[in-house]
Amino acid sequence: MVDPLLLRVLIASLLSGVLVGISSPLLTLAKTLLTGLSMIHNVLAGGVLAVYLYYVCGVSVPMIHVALIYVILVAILTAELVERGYPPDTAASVMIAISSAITVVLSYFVATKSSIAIAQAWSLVVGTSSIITLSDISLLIVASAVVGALVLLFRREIIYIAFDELGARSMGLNVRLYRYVLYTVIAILAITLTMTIGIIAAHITIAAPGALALQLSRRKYMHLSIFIALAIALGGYILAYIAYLPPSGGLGIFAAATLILSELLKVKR
Amino acid sequence: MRGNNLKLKEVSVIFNSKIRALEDISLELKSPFYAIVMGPNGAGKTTLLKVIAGLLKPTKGYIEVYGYVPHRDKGQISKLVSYVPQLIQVDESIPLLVKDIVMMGLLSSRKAPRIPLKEDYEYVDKVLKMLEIEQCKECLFSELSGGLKQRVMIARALVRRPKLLLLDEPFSMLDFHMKCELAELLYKLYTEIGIDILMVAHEVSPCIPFEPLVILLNKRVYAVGKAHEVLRPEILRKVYPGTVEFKNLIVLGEDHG
Repeated sequence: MVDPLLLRVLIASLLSGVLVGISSPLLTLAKTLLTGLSMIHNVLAGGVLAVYLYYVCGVSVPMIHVALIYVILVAILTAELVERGYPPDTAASVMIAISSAITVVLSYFVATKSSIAIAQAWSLVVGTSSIITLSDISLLIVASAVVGALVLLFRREIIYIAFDELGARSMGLNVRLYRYVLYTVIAILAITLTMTIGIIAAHITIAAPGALALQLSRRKYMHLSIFIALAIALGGYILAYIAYLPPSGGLGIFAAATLILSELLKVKR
Repeated sequence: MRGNNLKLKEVSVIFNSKIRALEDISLELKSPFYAIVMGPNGAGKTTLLKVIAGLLKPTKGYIEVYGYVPHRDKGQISKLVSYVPQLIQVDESIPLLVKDIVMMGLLSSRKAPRIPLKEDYEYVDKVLKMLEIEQCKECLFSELSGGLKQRVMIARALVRRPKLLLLDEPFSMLDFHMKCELAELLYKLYTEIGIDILMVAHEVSPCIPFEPLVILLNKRVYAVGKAHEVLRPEILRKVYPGTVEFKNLIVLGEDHG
């Protein structure tokens, strides 16, 4: 009989591997990896906003819904700033600064009402596979389906805009819309990974597959990225389970091993 | 198409309320034309192309391209006008195949989802063959030489069946032989398919055999005419400050030659 916890961990790692594998190359090519990593930090502001609405305003909305809407809104605002000429890292930094301010100010008001509320908000970003639930798995399935559909439908245009934005505009492509789509993918990816596998594991898994796949192959990078993401996720979690490590530790070791292996493969070629 | 001309009347483009890129440009080109815009760096050549392509709205003045106002009628203009940007503006680190780049030129005029059909592949092959780059269709863009890259960008523009081809410095980074080949190819498109050509270039010599219309620009239009009419020391001195004339040699100012 397979340990139910191990089974949930395996399913979660499989799903998160697919989710990261299909989106990571897109983030790498569109030069939005840093935006993706920084988006993770906006999730906490979404959580704090949810507990503020509940404890201070008396509005009861599930935390994940508030956080998801908030992060997508921040993502679209970031995209709009980029569209208006801000470099992507500047736009992401501006939005993180705003989110941090919201987190601090709202936390102050929430703390005056409840001593456990802030801890509830933090639980949104410290998700870990060791406490992975069936609702986390449902979230991963829905997120993978949405992100998968968006990537399949709009990957061609997003990559093309990264190749030649001016040319794409002159050909009548709606660059603003595709930027919104890309940043929405980033937002869904950030919130899903943060809530299910935790902020540190999300940091480790989000960048490595796409970057490594593009280093190894310029033609079959998408397949390779999914393979690498699955290898890191499954290998990392199994290693963590066997060696009694925190999952982020297992993932980190596996990501580093994959990086070294890919460099060795490059040298050999 | 509602008209047959490219018309600009007192068009000015001012960036950030102070940087004047174009000043009161008035120009009329009657189709068919094979024209070159020449001028020193910062003369507003690229800005002029962007205004014509509808990528930039003029601060002042009126512009009409085949009867449409580019920044207003963007949908129509994107069908009639194909813009080929400078190669330097393209991110070659993006791993795109030649056939995919050209295909996007074709698919971009359609609504999403842009799924290529069998006849699209056939048409892309035909255009690649016309530009003599069919053997490169499975190559990555970054693997090609400068001349082939330029041909791929022209193929992407041509596949849209445009009336006007705008090319921003198509001769940059090419050796003289390749420049001549490209100038001849553009002339063939002009004579055989009837595409109007308007290109920005720092040199006119590769195109001289094809008697292009030369537009001398330095924020304002200084002269329009055949090369032998406009490339005269007294005009060049105004367009290129610092121009020096020797016996049979004119050295242009602003490090152009």
